[in-house]
Amino acid sequence: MALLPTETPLGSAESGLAFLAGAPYPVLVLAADGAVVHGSGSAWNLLGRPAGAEGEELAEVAPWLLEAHSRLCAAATVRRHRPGAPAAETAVRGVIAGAEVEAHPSLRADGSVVWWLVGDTDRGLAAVVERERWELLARLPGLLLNSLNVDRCLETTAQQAAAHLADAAVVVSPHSGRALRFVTCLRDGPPVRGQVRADPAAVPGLAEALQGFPPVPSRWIDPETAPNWLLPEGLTAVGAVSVTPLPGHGVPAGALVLLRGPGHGAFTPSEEVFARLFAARAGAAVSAAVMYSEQAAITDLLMRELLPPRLEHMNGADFAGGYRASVDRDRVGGDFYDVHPAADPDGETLAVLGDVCGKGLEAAVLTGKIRNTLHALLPLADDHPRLLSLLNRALLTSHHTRFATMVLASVRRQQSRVTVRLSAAGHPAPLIVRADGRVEVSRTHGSLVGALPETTVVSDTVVLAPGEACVLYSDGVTEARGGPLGDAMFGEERLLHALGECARMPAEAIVERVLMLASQWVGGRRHDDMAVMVVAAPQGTRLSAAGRYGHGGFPA
Amino acid sequence: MTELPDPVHPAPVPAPPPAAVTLPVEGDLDHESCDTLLATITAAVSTQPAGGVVRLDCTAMTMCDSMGLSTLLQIRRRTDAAGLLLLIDHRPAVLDRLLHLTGTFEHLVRRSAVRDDDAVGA
Amino acid sequence: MTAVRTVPPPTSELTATVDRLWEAVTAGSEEAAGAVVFGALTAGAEPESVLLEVIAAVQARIGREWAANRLTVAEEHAATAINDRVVAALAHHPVVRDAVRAGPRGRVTVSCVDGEWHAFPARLLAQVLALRGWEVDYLGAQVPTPHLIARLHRTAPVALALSASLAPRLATAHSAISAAQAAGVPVLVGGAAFGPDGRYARLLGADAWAEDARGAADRLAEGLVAPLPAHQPVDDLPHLADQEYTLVRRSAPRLVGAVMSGLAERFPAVRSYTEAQLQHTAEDTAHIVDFLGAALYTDDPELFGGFLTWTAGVLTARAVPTASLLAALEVLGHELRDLPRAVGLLDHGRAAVASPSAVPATVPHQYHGNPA
Repeated sequence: MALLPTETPLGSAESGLAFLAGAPYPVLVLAADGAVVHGSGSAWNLLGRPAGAEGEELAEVAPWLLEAHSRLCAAATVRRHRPGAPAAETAVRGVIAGAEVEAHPSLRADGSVVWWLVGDTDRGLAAVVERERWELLARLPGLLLNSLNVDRCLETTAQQAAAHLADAAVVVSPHSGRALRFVTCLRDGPPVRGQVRADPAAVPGLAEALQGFPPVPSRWIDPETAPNWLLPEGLTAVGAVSVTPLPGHGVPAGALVLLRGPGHGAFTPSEEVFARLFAARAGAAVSAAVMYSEQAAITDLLMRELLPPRLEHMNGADFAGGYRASVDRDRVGGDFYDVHPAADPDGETLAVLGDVCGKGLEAAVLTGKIRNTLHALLPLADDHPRLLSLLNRALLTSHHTRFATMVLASVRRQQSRVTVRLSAAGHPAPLIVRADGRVEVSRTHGSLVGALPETTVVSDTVVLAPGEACVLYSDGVTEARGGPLGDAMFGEERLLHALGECARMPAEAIVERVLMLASQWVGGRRHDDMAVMVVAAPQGTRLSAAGRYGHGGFPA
Repeated sequence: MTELPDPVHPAPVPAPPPAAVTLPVEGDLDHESCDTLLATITAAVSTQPAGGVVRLDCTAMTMCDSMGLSTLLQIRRRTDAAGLLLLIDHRPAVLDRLLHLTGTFEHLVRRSAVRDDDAVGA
Repeated sequence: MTAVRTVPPPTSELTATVDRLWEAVTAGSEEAAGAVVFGALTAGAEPESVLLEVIAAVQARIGREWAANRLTVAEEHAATAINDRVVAALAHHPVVRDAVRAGPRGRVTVSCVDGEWHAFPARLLAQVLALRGWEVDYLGAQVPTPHLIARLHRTAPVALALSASLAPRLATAHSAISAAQAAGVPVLVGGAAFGPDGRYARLLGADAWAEDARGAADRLAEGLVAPLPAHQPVDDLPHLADQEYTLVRRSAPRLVGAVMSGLAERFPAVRSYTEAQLQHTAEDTAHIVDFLGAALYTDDPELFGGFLTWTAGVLTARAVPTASLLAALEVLGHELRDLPRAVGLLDHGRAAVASPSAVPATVPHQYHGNPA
């Protein structure tokens, strides 16, 4: 409820008012005749009058308060003579500078009255700042919170501060390392980013503001002491400089430095209020952006690890993969695929496509564990049952029964043909697209990995002639619900039919075709992760396109 | 004065046959409903003496996804640990298909039929 | 397929290159396709011209040939895949690497609208922008809108280039545009979905529209102004207040079912359709409902009329009479009789199909269906 810190010293010990120093509310002490004995800084701010103003001025600003005071003093006089008379120490309400304020009296022995002024914070302050500024404050969170990008947020803060608070503004980034990073902005100019190697402690209050601790009030510093980097280009002379921490609620949100041209001094009380509210809003927005970017950085890191690789031509076979993440739940899905190229060109390349039970970070952690373990077990890749059994043991835990299903495909080029050894562990069996358009279901089956004491698997070996392909997919594809009539499953039949049209197509085109049909099937409906990987025996020479930019085509 | 029967100790009834509890599994068994089912079963298991039978009646089950299967495996672990026999009855075709595809049919259905007490991870 | 629609008349040399690439691509030879393109580069052709006047021209031709039933779906996919690989390989050609103008201009995100499957125009644009010195974040065609927006918040690009070729994607495009703008990122849109003159780009409040990749690159070079503070998408389209778009979207499966039984009643042949034929017919009907929805969203009868005229052409190429199309529209008109805007659109659509001479000004909005 404290509108403003009571900075005005309440040193008048002779009047016995020292106790008011810790007052939580703006407070006025009026003598019986209405003269102002004492006013807290916050009370003067609320009244919009300089400290120490006279009672006459009070009558102008809040006549209702003086009237209530007179009534109270009169009643007190009556009671001194007639002890049974009713007490009159009840709160009164009135308006000060457009804001509703409740005034609570407490009668003192010397006949003076302490008036506690309690107002609804924002509404009270709304009256203090001018309408235009109030409108800006209302608009500001929208402007600031639109971007969850820290730099954008700081730029907006600098721009708005320069436009409404001072002749120029500098916002120092909370993310400053050894170098201080900041955004400067002249009134009506564009925000400009900069950085400097400087000690923030050289600017009073800046180091604390950047640490977010201890809490410090905004303060005006001697412009002479301001370091050069703080003075934006284009601002020829400086009359006043203030440093305000952006309150970040536990997260450092940076500092706002306001610069005023020559002839301008410190803010008036109403400007001060406005600056504080501005800083509070900017701080909340910047800290939200900081927290978002930290979360996003963590997720990014996880995603980089989990994103399927861009697949290429490897050791004589073509690999292509595609993935469409489910949107309606967490960002990191449960499907994955990987290709581990053989050490030598004649060796076996191991491709894996899997589906981890569960969603979100929990699934992500399990996926990471599976991929790492598989990587470690690569030397055993010539023995699929053994590899799956070891992976199963590594994943088995008494804590839960989360599991994964997967297909292992060991791929080896032999002259123009490609041999693929397939093992499906609890996973739909891969489909083989022959050059003449026949589609076969491979004869491999086995148990899932990670929840049963032992695994069983029956492997199958298929030989691909040039132009033939082996399609690994997750059940998100076949179980996609939708279609023109709404609630039918895409199903294996439709997948087989679609693949029948894919004979002799390049691996990427098959992946794209299947994902496109399945996605069109679901339309805008909810769906699970959908992953497709194709291993194909090439028909001709492939173009090399190593190092394509970006994660092209993969979920953001 | 006539002795009134002690209301606290009614006439003894014969001991019940091996305790059996039947729990219906209705609708979709998926990531949204599996926690509730697991909680219900856990509560039911705790009141059953060892040697009892827990029956899951899947007549009204419409779908079972991977989280649902994970839950069935978890239930199996709990019943094994408590020395209970788990029977998954009236399985719809979609469930049997999933159990066969994932190689869990043996573990969840057939082994129950022969009453194998080899508990997993218990 | 047709986001890069107006390809400037290429020089005769490039015309010959287009023909050679077309042959290589339709023969399914990646190697030959690469040789054609690398040969042109080595002979001194501008990389940007090779991208936009050769590769894009061939891609446009693939779309036309498919619509005319001279390419199967599989051939079309295979050709596109080869073209795609040629674009990717081209980026690593020494001539192209040298041609990349020095100095990064800043970061641009290039993405397709969620649900859009024609990634090729976006890929071409990404490549052109990279050539012109932008740092390009190419997200492709499989990015759900929430992921796209999250990415914009993290990377704060100077602009988002958003591609859509299918009008039914406009509603999704609209929400992506508004969300990107709310994140402080101006949006440039392109692709056939936005209309031949970019009319729907303006309607949906995009910051800029470009007719083709070159235009988009020029427009981005001029610089886009940071968008105005966030607004509600619905404010752009007050006609949505009648809820007709929502109602039609929501009842789409029921409408498709009604059309299917209506067709079976009127045409005895439909009753003996195979499962696959029924499936194709249902899919075609679903596309009609999709485009009706898009026309309701944009409140533009031309959008619906243009699509139907194009569909009639595709059906004719496959020897399917337009009577069934007219019958489908009639059934829809009956089902939606309480929705005045939808009824108006369906009337307009019937007129457009019935009088093929009235070819609308709009370029066909292609879709990737399986024509019956």
